[in-house]
Order: sequence, then structure tokens, then C-alpha cells
Amino acid sequence: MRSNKRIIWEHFTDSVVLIGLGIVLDLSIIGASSLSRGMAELARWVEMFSKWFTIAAFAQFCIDSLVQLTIRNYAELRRARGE
Amino acid sequence: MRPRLAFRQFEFLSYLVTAAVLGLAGMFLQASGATDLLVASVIVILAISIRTSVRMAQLHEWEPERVAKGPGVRIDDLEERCKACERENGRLSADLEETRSQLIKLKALEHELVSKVLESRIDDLERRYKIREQQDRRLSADLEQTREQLSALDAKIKITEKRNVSAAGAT
Repeated sequence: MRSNKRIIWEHFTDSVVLIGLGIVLDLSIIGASSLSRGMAELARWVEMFSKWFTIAAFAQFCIDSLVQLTIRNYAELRRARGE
Repeated sequence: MRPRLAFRQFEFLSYLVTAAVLGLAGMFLQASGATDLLVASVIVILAISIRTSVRMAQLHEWEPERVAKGPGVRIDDLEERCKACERENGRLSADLEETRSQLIKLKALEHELVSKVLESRIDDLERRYKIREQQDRRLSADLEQTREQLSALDAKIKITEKRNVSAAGAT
């Protein structure tokens, strides 16, 4: 069974990769808005998507760590009680 | 280890898909004119519900190897538990049979003990009966002897009375 630190570390690495992906996506469309109107519109959508994608990745890291540790510790507690 | 990697890949994919879905939701909400605070709140609420649902579904599957190996492992686990239960059941049945046989033996012993107690009581009663019989015989003999003595005494009294009467006639 994984330790609590191990779970947090794994979630952290996953979220770092996703946040990095979001930042790369955001950076990839820098300057695209100056190319054409259609590209400017696409850049706006991609910018919005990468922003919320990055925030969602970070929120998932916090929430999932908390939820998984809470449920796991609760399950261990119940198992220790013999329920 | 391959199963471990598969499990981690599954987790990462789950993160990626959820983040993408939430990113799309945020994008459309922001495009429709929602404020950043509202969009962030919706994303956080959706993230909480999605992650909680996923983790609650895995509540009984904390061991990553088990999840990684798939439902086959669960079936194997259930079969193992079933076999263990059958073994336990067999052991309990054997215990029950043994207990039953012991109970039958104990009942037989109880009968034997009761019969022995009764036999000893009968012996005791017979012994006491014999003693009483001997006492009765002895008392009968005593009675007979006493009667004989009494008749002898009666005879002596009669003789004495006759002597007295003859002596009185002589005087």
C-alpha cells in the first residue's frame, strides 16, 4: 500500500506535468493573434482553455490528495476497528 | 513493474481527461460571459464531485496492483476467499461432528454413571436388608429364649405355690 507522502508526491508530479502542459499550450499561441483574425480568435479560445485547464489541474491535485487521503485513512480506521 | 506503471498511467490519464473537460467547461463559461470567480467556483465544484466519485468507486481497491491487474484479480481474490470460507466451513463441520460424538459419549457416560449409582444404592439396600434380617433372627431367638425362661419361671412358681399350699396344710 502506498504511503501518504507517496500519494501526494504522485499527484504533485501529475499536476506539475499537466500545469506545464497548460503553460506550454498558453505560450504556444503567443503571437498567433497577430497573424490573422481567425488565428486571433483561435488564440483567444486556446488561451481561455489553457487557463482553466491549468487551474483545473492544480485544483485536482489539491482535491484529489485530500479526498484520497481522507477516504484511505477512513478505510484504514474502519479496517482497524474490524468493521 | 508493468501493473504499477499501468495504474499510474490510468491515474494520469484520469487527471488529464478531467482537466481537459474542466478546461473546456471553463472556456465555454468564460466565453458566455461568466466572471472568473464564477467559473473558478464551478470548476472547483466539478473537480470535487468528479474526484470524489472516482475515489469512492475505488474505495475498496486501495492496493494499486489489484486495480492495475483488473477484475480478473478480483475474481481470483473472491475465489480465494470462497475457498477459504469453504475450508473454514469444512473445519467447522468437522468440529460440529466431533462435538456431537463427544456429546453422545458424554450421554452414554452419564447413563453409565447413573446406573452405577443405582447399583451401589441397591447393594447398600441389600446389605442393610441382610443386617436387619440378622437382627430380626437374633431378636426372635432372644424372644424364644425369654419365653422359655418365662415358662420355666411359671413352672417354678407353680411348684413353689404347691409346696406352700402343702406346707400350710401340714401346719
